[in-house]
Amino acid sequence: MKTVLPMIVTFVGGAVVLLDYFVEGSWISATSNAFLSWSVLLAAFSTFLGGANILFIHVRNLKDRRPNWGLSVILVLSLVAWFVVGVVGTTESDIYKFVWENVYSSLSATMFALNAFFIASAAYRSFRLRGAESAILMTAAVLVMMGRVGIGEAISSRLPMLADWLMSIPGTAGMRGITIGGALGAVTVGLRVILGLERGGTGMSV
Amino acid sequence: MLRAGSIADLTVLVLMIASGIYYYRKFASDKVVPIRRIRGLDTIDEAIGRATEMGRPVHFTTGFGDLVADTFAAFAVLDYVARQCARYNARLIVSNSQPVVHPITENIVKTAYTMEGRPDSFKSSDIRYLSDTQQAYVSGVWGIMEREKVAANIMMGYFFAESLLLAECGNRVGAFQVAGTASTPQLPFFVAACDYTLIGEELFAAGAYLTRDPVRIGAIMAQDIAKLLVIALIALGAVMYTVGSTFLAGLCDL
Repeated sequence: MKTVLPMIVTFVGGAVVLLDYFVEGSWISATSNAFLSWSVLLAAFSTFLGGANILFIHVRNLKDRRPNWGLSVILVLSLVAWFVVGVVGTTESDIYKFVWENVYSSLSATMFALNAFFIASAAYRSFRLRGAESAILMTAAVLVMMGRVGIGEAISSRLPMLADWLMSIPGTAGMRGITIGGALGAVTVGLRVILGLERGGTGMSV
Repeated sequence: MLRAGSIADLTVLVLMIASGIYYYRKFASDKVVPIRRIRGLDTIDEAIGRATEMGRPVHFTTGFGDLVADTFAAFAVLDYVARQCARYNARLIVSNSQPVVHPITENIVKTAYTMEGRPDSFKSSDIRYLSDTQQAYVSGVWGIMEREKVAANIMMGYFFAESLLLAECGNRVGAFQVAGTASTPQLPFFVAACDYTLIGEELFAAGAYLTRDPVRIGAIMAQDIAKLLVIALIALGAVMYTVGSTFLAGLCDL
């Protein structure tokens, strides 16, 4: 029952939503919309499970005085304080907005900005000439980079055109091929999930 | 009544189901099923073996994506990784960004350890939910990789801007990295930063490749049949459109 019930729920839910895509009918649309709304509710509930998991792990770190337990103290205090501020003062309160804008947003922007440096370091490693493939990769990358900066245009007015061609013809063709293959793969996985052949969510071995 | 514009989609879907059933029946009795080699999946064993030898953990994450097809495909890889880790007694740490994905990954790992006869080795504290905000999730994974000094980092699923941030951290700690996603904007980052990358449909073939299950192989064959049909339609459509016919475009819009 523990495995059959999730499979039945998956089949009914998936089949109705799929049917709604192909068939017009008020009851099908209504049922499909209801299922989608329930999934949003379930996802919201699972946030509490996630929060419980964080607390469980870090409170245990604290109790057992594991290495770096001081970081767990900061995390638990921040979590509880942020929860209280959000629930008591609502997300419209001044404290909530202040912390969001001055702490969370700044930290997020800092993390995201690191991508610029990581692109450089990853590119440096992958563009090293190790064979024919990396030579093609490096040549294309150098041409695109040169075509995108002023010095490239100063060297030759054709470099920006070449960069555009590389991006819009071979680049787009390759990306579209991957997208079509990926989309067909996604359809196959979706069908397997609906038919109960992909049992990742049921707890049975997949 | 069928919705306007869905007949062509339905035809492809029916064709895929029919060919899937046909190839399942064909392969059900065969002991050896032909499937092309996917180097990225072959190296998963190498990654786990390396972690076992070094006595350091294996890290697995499904990315920032929700319960999408890529994530379901990643579950099949996680099941395999968890079984191998249980078999070789390597520690497996799974970090999640989505609360709906977290209990599923916990279930998969727990079941895999039980199936391999090592339920005692399973630690629920190693299956971690971090945060459903992107950069907080990234910093959480960084923390895990740096503190635990992971020997292998396996990233399968749907990734957004966190892909390069995670891969570069894995590289910094010296982890052997295998990634897989169908998210085309993130693929170049994985290709540049990881040791092996499963590109697009290779991720969806992972379950079939690793288990050699005839049902899954049948589904992969169905996918290939649909792909051949799409290639033929693109080629034919290009020729027909060039000579001024919009018949095929109209047929696809049915």
